[in-house]
Amino acid sequence: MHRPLLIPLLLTCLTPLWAARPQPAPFNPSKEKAGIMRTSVQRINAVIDQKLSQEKLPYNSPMNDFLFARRVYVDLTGTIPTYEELVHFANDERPRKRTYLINRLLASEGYVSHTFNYFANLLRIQSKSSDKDLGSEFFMGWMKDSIHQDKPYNRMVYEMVSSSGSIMENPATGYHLRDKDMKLDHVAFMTKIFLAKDIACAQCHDHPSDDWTQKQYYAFASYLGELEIGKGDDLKKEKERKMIYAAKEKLFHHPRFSTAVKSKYGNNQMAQKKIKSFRQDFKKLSEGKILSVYDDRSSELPLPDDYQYDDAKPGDVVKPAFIVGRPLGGPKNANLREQLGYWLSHPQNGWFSLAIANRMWARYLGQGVAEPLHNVEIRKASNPLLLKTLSEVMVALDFDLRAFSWVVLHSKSYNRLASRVETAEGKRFHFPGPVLRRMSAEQIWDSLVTLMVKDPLRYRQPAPPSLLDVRDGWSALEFIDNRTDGKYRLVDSRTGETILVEGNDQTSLSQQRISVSSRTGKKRNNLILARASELPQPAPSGHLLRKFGQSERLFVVGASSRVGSVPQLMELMNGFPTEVLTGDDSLLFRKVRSVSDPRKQAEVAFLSILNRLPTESEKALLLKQTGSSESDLSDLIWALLNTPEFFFIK
Amino acid sequence: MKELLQTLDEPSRRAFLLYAAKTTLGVSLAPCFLTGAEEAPSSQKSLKKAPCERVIFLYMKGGMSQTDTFDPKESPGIGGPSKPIATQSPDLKISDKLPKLAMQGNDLSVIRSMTTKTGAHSQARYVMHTGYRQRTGMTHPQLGSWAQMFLGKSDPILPSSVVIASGNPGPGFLAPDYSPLPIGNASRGIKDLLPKIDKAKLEKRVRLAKGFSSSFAHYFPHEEVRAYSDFYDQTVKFISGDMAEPFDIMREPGNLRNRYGNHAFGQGALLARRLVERGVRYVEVTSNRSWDSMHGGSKNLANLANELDGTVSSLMTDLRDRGMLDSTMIVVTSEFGRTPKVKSNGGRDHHPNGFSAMLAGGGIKGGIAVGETDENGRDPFPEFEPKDLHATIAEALGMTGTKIRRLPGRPSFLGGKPKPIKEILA
Repeated sequence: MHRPLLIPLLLTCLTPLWAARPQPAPFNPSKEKAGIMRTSVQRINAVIDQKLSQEKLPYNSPMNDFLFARRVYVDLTGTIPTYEELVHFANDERPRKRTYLINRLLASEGYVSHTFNYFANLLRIQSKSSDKDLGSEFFMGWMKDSIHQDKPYNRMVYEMVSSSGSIMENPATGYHLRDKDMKLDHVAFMTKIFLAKDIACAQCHDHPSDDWTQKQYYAFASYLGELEIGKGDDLKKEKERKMIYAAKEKLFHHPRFSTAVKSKYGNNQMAQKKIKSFRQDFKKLSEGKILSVYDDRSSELPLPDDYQYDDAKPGDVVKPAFIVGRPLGGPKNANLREQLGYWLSHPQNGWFSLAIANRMWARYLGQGVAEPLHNVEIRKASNPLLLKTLSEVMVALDFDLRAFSWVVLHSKSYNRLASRVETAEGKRFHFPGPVLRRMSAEQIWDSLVTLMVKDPLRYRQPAPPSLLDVRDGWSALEFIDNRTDGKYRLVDSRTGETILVEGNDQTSLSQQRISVSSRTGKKRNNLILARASELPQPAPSGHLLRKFGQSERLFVVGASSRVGSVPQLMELMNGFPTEVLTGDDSLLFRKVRSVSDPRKQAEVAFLSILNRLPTESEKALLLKQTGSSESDLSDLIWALLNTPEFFFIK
Repeated sequence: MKELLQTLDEPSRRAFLLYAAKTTLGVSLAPCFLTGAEEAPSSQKSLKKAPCERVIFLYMKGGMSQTDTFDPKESPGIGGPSKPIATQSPDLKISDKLPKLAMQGNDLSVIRSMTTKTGAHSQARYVMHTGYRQRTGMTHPQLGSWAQMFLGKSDPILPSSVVIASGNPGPGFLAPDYSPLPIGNASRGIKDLLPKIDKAKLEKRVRLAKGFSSSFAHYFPHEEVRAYSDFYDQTVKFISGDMAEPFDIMREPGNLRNRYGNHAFGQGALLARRLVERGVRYVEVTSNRSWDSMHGGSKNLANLANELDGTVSSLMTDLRDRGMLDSTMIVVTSEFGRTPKVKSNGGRDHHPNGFSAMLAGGGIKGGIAVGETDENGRDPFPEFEPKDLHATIAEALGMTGTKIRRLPGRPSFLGGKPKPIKEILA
């Protein structure tokens, strides 16, 4: 029933869908899959029902429409809903409106953005690294495109693990390039992410408590023994150079090219300048100054010089072997990384499906069935049967993460309020509802952006298309124009216009202000009001995202944080985003002001920020404390942003 | 529940830390925090017993010439414009460019055999701040963040570490609540972080926010929610006028401000004193005046040395007057030193192999020089690396009673077997 995964090393020819086309793949599961989804919900409910009744625990209270909408928007699209979206949903009278909402959000741009954040954290994606030309914008574009096109998770992983070539040909190579010069760490990250096994200790010595020996570590790492990152062998280089020259020929001789350049840049002088810089870019490319991921059959990964155990000698090369499970066959003549990718992403690799199923469950319920997520022991799971069921559902749904999310979001547990009290020390949590969670840094920032800017996902960080897609003058222009030379840019995805280039103040052409600046002392701060997924990865230190715990993208475990701190709250109280939001030209402010009745104003503000109506006592407090002047409106907005309720998911 | 961290006694504070680690960082880190905290039962005691309670780290950015400060040379052709002079202590000579510090020689000591493995400014600066060499894809925490991790917060409201005019790497891989509070300009203090509205308005806003928070806090009596309410209380205290006071050096007497020196470094050192006096444990002040004396100019050198001499001696005197010198360590150092031999253009080149650090005050034995360079200013012996300096400060702060464990997958505090420089510890 499962298709073998081994796709020949096909260099995927993709134009950057994410930056150009607004609508992601529709969420339209086949009849058969929809059937599996419905039975999966029932299976999961049955397992949890049984456990709860066994423990004599009731489910938590159900949620009203407002709470449901807030939770689902935050979980699927990474932001609170707008006032209009919320009211629209509340007024919808169709009996299955919750399902309709979930279906719609699964096919939204917000879902792509938010899911990108998830994987960017997991894979530690950085826009800039100390190695200048890793071209991670290609990889980020590939990741967004993969989510945008609804690529099955196991295929995504296969493509990354088995990828070869330069990042310009095959952007999935960004996965290996990220960990250039740290192969052993790369292996440890790989098992934590994809297999829920932490074998890091065995890198240097036999694992003290678990089963791994250092030799086993090296045996598994040997699957990457032939992996090389560099300028490639001569053959490879030659091929690349040929391709680049061909592209260059096409570019400069294409009749539409100079017309394209001229029409884009208006005046002749600018066009000439551009053409000149294109030539220089191509020269660099053709000189083979680009890193490639490739396999060198003569490379190997010997045991370290200080290897201390009797079962092998330092410098020995260990035969490749899988660290968990069993071999699952696969093509005989595939290279080691293709074999690894095949095995890793195979539906019968139980640890692989378990790892992602448990992660996705934790993503929506606030806690995994087994913790920690990166090192699962089945016997320590709060409910081993639930873990097994989720893992089976993941396989049955062919690693379709949207279908799996649909299932989780339809489970009884998800559709309850978060647990009112914490689970006592040493007690297991049986999911009578989700765990109360603080939003992630990205969710907080994106929610603020939703309050500040209309349709923020219109503004996107572009990714260059693959070099293989350069066919004519236009695509060549697009390729070079989007090749960011390490500079951060933002385009308006509706018009295709570049509206912001790092270090260039004159480029902002958008209808609304998406970049605002303030003066604090002598320093001028620029704040780009785009979604977290479209900002530099990670955001620069000192950014609100970082203060709220965005991962620095160095580690997988404990890398992002949801802990409070004084500087964090100072940012929310006095910082620039709040200054913008309480200012009289913010989207939110104008929305609230457009209502004339002061009581109504309070309602709009509450629904916009906390996504609920004010209680009677809150109304009384407002009446007592404040009027309806502009300054009172600022105070109201400020106060709502500065309640913990704003950044918790109930 | 106001001032959670203040009212909690040490065991429940530990429980809280553990709790926070578990709920917010995932269980994975918990064992670490647990062992880290549990193996530090002495932390409360050692906090009291520790010879040094706070640190003022004065960082001379650009490579301070040791020859013109703490390791002067007499041999002809070496040393350039500086000559050794006697200090208050018979066992210590320093450069004649530092006459005021010489008069306090009994209270300060010098490590003359510092060495670092890199001669590039930014890498060496990183090593001096973290004790680690810079690696791709990794930022190590600064010393003040580590101290907070192992000793707890030094004050319920004020940050445990503050960095003034500094390029300090911050909390590194530790959680954001271990961040030092950065201050750009000592004279402005935290003005830029303060609300731009008047007090009455802030109070009104806070009143409203509190009112809006109660239903949620009531429905979810979670530790995490309570912790946030507490952070809010702390922040409000912090930003309302009274708590800005520790950061406002304009409240210091004018003549004292003058004594520290009317320049960024002097005012920074004054702010550092004001902050440690009020409960901040670790303050770093960077002198951004270029110590990068590649191209010479003895006038420039005279100014730099003059600034250093005036500011550090005033800081020592001021702390002594307040009875705080015995419990406050002052450290003066740089990413590396400068060649003892002056180049033909009058400048000095980078000199990572053999430079100096000055230590004074809390936990430090005064009046001695530890280690030496040969008469040409080379071959430091015994070699001390930045991590050894860190280990020395940590020991004085009482961080050694803590058995410092590795965080999973991360380097520990003080990697690679550093040796605290015992000779200089009191």
